[in-house]
Amino acid sequence: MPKPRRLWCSCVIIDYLKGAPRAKPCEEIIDHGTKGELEIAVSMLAHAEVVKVGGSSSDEAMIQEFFSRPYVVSIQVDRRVAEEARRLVRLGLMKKPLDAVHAASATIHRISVLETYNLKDFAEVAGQGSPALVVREPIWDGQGSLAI
Amino acid sequence: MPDDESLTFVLHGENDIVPVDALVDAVKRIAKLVYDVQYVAGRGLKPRPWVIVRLSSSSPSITIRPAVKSTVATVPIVLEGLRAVASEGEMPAELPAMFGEDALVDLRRIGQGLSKRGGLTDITFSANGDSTPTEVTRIDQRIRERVDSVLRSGYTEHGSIEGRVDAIQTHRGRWFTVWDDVTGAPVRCPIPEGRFWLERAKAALTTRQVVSGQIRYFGNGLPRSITVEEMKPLAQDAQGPKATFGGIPDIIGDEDSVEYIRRLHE
Repeated sequence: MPKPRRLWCSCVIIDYLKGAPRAKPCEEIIDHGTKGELEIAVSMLAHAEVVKVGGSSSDEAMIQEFFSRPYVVSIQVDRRVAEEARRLVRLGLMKKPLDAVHAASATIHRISVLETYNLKDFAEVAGQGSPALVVREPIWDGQGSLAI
Repeated sequence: MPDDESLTFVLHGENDIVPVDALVDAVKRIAKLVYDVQYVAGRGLKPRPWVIVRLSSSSPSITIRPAVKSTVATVPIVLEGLRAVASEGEMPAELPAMFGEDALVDLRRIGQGLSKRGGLTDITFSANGDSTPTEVTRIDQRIRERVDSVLRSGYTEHGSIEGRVDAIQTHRGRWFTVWDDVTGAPVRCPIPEGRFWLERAKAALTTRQVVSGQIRYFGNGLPRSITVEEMKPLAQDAQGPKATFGGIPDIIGDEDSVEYIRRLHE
């Protein structure tokens, strides 16, 4: 059966690894992911953006470990995602193409929840896609969107 | 799966006559379609047998359901797939991921049995055979053309598929299946010539892998097959460091993560 799926922007993963107080709810979300109750989708772009410049091999191993977890689903920046990102920028729903890639990864793959701390830059894209995209900060609310 | 999952199909023949051979062929082909969808929906689990729960002879009408309760809901996928392919217009955007290539080929074969002179003209499918039929879909000879159009559509791109490797096939072609993490679709991976790749595929069986190469997609973006150029495991190192909350406290220094990403995106 499909599991509820939410998409995390790079800033969420960074804040989780950083231990930022606002990212505390991520622990609970991850806990439910570990139990096989949900999936966290990430754009492949996040694989490049979540980086410790000059970091140790241990830091890198930790980042790799996160992205290889079975409940972390990595979405390619393929033609459909890129075209959708272009559409979002063209319509003025997203200002920056790279932000738009994260949003497009959600709308193309019918993920109805995008979690980010950058609510301002993603405000206009809310409601796009089918099901309509909800943009919010990470929160465990007992459910998520169903991946179809 | 709903306890009452069932699929009803009604066969219509020319002048209301249905030849026995056409009926037998149609039942076999529809059963194969159901099993192929169930296999994909169950992500490679061996399909359970289905049984006939109702037969009516006026226009031959047959209702089938799984012999035992399963967690896999097959009928909605079959009906959604039939409806998507049968619909007029461009490549059906709503073709379900679980209605894969094998199901399309099965549907084409069902279509081959339609409109033969003196044979079947069309088949009507519906759910809830024992009560009010729902999601009624009718297919006729045009379904073959529609399936061909779906199978012809699509595009190729270089990229990678991540997912669990399963089902190595070595007779009638050499390929294995990777179950795409993102869409849940089975992606067929022809095994390159030589023992090296066969052994790698065997070693990868049941593990999560990143398979890179030329990916062929259906027109609606579902991955269909990949020409394997490289494979590497998505294995987790049990002894290695874990990405815990606060595991890399200085990952971006003191900068706010939103501002950091904004700066990257400038």
